[in-house]
Amino acid sequence: MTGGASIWTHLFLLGVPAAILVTVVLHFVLRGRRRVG
Amino acid sequence: MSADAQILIVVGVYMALLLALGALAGRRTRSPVEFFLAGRSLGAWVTGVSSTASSESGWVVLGAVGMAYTQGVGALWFAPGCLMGYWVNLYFLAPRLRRLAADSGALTLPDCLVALFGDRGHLLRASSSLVVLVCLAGYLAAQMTATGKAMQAVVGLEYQHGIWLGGAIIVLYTLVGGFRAVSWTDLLQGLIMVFALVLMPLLALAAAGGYGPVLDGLAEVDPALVSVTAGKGGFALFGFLIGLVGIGLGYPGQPHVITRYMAAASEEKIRQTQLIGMVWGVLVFYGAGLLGLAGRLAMPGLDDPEQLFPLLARQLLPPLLAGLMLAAVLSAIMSTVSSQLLVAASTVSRDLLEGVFRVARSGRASVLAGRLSVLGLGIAAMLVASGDVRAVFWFVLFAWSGLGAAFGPVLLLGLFTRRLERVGAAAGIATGFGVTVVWKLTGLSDTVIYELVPAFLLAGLVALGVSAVRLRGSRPRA
Repeated sequence: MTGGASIWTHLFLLGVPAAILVTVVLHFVLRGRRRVG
Repeated sequence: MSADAQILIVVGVYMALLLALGALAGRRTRSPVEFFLAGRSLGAWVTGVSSTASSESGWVVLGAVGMAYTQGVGALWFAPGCLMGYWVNLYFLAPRLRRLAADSGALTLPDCLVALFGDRGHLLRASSSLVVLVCLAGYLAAQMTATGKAMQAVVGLEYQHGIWLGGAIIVLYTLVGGFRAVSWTDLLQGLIMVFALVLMPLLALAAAGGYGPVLDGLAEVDPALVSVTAGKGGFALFGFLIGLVGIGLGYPGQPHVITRYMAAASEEKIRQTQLIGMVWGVLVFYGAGLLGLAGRLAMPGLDDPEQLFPLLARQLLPPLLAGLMLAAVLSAIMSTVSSQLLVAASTVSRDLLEGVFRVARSGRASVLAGRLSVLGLGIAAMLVASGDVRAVFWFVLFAWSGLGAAFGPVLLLGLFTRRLERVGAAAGIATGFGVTVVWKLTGLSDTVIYELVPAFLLAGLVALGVSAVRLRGSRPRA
């Protein structure tokens, strides 16, 4: 953590894009598995 | 060899590649469905990257970077807003629109509206074509201006020569290769853009000492620069957030973006496109934002923060790579111009000449009319841009919002409910466009709220209300 920015800033800058990426990849993989199954 | 010469070579190779792709695509372009929709044969990568690249003009590599430079972390609210637009487009609109277009044989956005609602007396086709043309005409002229300025900055050409050289290349590959050339070149341009917007922020962060020191440094300059709320509160914060997040509402109504989904080869391709498009969006939007934040420390005190990207590329990179980065600036602009040019041409030839005036209806005549429209509209846009006709740029102010509010609500409601009918849809289109113009003209965009939000909501409500009245007593659309 850096002194100048709050936890919300870090979540906003890094957490949000990471969450979006994980969600779309998981959605793609899980749906692929469901279709194969 | 000098640095400028090396940069020129890279940009020259890039331009030659665009023309080669256009020529290659042209060999497979004979029928209207080939010229206007690439024979509905696009793969997942082409559909995903080209649709997203065409939606992001020079704004993302110049404007968004400059916004983050000036306003700090809070400016990055545009990223979740735009990604929300991508999500609605890719996961909801794209699969249904592709199916509708394939089932009905639709080649253009007005074709899809006619397939959804029917069209006695050409009410829907004529009104939607008019809105598309008015918005895209201004948009095109402004993008040609941006092409001229980018050529001036990148290659060192005079502004006028830049417009005519850059514009001629775009017109040529669009005219020869049609939709397939536009899509292939957009794929190349989209890949260059994403590479640039991943590499440049990493270099800028490294130059400024890393992620933590950048935030610390920004906080020292002004604590509001590292605040998620940009140091605002109350109604000012509400207006600020709506203004940035609301940009995303525009995506479902942009004809030059959504026609790409209509050209996907299958629904399976659309499913792959969803992943590709979202990842591209995250990398590009957050890359632009982080570049602006780090650039504030790496290159402080810029007179024009929107020039951060090209200036930093020249400062941090060897000439050949700097050339590629500068090609990314051209890519962002050119991918949007070519897509808008083809859609505007298809509106003239397919919707107005064939659909409303019933001329040029054979396959060969249709393709010829399409090509002549590309040529005519392209030259007109270059003339306006080189003449610096101010009145036209007035249209650009509401082009994104006008298209988004006119077509977004009507398309989404038409594809997902059965509560809309022809006159209601036309009323929704007119309301979306009209409210955008009035909101902008009266200054409410600056004093109250970003015009797209009220225009989008009112367009949906009017479309539903008018349809409800007209459908009263009868069964909803099958």
